[in-house]
Amino acid sequence: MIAFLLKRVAWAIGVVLVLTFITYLIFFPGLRAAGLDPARLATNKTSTPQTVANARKFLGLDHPWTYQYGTFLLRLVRGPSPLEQEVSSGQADRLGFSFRNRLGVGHLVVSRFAVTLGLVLGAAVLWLGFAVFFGVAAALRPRGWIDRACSVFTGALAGVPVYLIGFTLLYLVAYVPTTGSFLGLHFGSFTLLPLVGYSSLRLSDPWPWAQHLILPWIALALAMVTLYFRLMRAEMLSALDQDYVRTARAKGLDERQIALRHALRNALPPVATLFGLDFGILLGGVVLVETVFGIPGLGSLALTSVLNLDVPTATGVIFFAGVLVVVVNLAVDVLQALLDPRVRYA
Amino acid sequence: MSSLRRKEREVAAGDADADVLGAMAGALTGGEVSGADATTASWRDVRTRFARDRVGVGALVLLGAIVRFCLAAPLFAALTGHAVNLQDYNALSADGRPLGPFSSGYLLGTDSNGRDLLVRLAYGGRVSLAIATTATLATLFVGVTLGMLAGYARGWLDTIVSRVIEVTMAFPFLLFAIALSIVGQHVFPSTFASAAIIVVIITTFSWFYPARIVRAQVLSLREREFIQAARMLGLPSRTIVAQHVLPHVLPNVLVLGSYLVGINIGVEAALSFLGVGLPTGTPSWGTMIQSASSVYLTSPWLMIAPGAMLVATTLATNVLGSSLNDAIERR
Repeated sequence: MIAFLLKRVAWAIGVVLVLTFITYLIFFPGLRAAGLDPARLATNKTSTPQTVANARKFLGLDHPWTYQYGTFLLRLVRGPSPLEQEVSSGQADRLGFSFRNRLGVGHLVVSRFAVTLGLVLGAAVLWLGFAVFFGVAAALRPRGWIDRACSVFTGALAGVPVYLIGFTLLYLVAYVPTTGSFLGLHFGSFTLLPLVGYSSLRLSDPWPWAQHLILPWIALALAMVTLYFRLMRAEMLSALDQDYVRTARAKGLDERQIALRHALRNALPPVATLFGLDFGILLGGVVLVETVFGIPGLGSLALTSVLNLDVPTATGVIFFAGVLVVVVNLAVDVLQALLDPRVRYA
Repeated sequence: MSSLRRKEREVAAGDADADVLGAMAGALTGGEVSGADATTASWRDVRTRFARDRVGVGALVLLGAIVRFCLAAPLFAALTGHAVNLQDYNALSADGRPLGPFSSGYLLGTDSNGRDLLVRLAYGGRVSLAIATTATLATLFVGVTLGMLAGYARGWLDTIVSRVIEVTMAFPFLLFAIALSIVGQHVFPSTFASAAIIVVIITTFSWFYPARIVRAQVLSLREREFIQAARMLGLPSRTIVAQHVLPHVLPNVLVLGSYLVGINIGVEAALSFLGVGLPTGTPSWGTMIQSASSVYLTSPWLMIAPGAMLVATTLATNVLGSSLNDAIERR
């Protein structure tokens, strides 16, 4: 088990190194080929020449780009150097310093990630809940009405991009009630949910936060649910077909117990694997959902920093996202190895 | 993209099942029974089976209609007299808003710049379909070549290809796509270059789907008798791979290609929607959705039209892919 763990961790670190190396390859030689100055891009248009010079010093632009990658790794391990501290007035952290936001990149990324986490967790509850509940229900009565209804519902969603789902929800649920009429039907106008924006979570009053996230949760969940429902249904069907289920039936256990205790337990691990495999895709969905709904999360930070070619922020975000994907994959691998000894020796 | 991972698993699983079944049947009857391979000889059977699948044929007809609609773009422009980039400020309502559908002379209405939505929809479809098709062909070419090499040669070549696949799969795709696209556009600033960059990005992040499927299939194929016989006859590897292995791989590649076209249309649209794909002036379904996103509350048809085309195309290629799969696997 320890050998397995070490091997997986080494592999994960290797992947992250390759990933960040390619990020640096895109941004440093790439921007140079385009004739752009990363220091000027990293700062605001109104920044003083002093700030631009500081950014140039911080990014190590007088050196070749491999040096910049080296300092990135070094900073990650040892924290910011005294020079970097001085240039960023003590704000720099292990991921660097964002001159545009005047914040350490690590600090920025973590605070934005908290927003994204709220979005993803809420959506995950919805789509996993739907997939497990209806997947089991559909598998227990194949071709029954629940099965058919769910298959049609998820099948229709399969080809619809998440941003179209988002705009449709915004239009129908947030906009139409405020107009007071829909398809020639008139009613008193009212506000159901806010159109865009975000309100940070306060534990004393979570409603403003939830209010802004209800539609994003539904949109992201609808985009992810098809795959999980289908997998859950298929895994449950094949689990119900196993010998141990027949044995359980022969023992006289009731169907409910068989389905939940015996079949479901064996049908769940592949769903967990899918979650790990698809985590990178989920992050992509997050970028799109945050753009549609104007949520200031990790995805919108990634998009704006890359669009602005804000190199220190962009490289930091991509590094963080890469680590996230690798860590989730690792966690799923380890979990499976714990549950299933065959994986350990594969 | 994620539906593809599932597809990949299905294809791999289906292939393994069929191989097992084939081997079992062979052992029982004592005769040579082929597995799930639709080789050149049985393409006619596949066609017959596909023709009986009403849903599949329907998807093919829908796809054909969409392609014809897009190809007919110059015809729409000629018939309506509205060029694709003709900005007619008389084609806006009195308060400067786009015209709704079924306005006089504009069947689908106009966009915020007074351009004919119908004409742009057809021209935009050409761009979207061209990018998706090119990207699919490039993906299949790279993926099938590397997959066959890795599966047939095995050894260090296989190790390298497999490792590269694993690393590429761990990339947060969209983030890298955004970064590559935006930096690429600064290095090569032209509309054609933007389209080429999208094709390269899609190929970079999807070649491993065909590569994995083909590799797995070739690994089992190379142990089959007819390949061993070909090797015994002293045929060069190149001939064996091209003439004996490739025909067995093609059916699955065809199924995958159908899925990929739909997925790639979605990727182009997503990138253009985020503002990192094609420049906004160039019509594509993605850029049309992007420019509609600022006015969709008051002019929803501007988003519904390209959105519906996008969804219809994706749905058609998905259904077509699964019907082809059924026809090939003799379900």
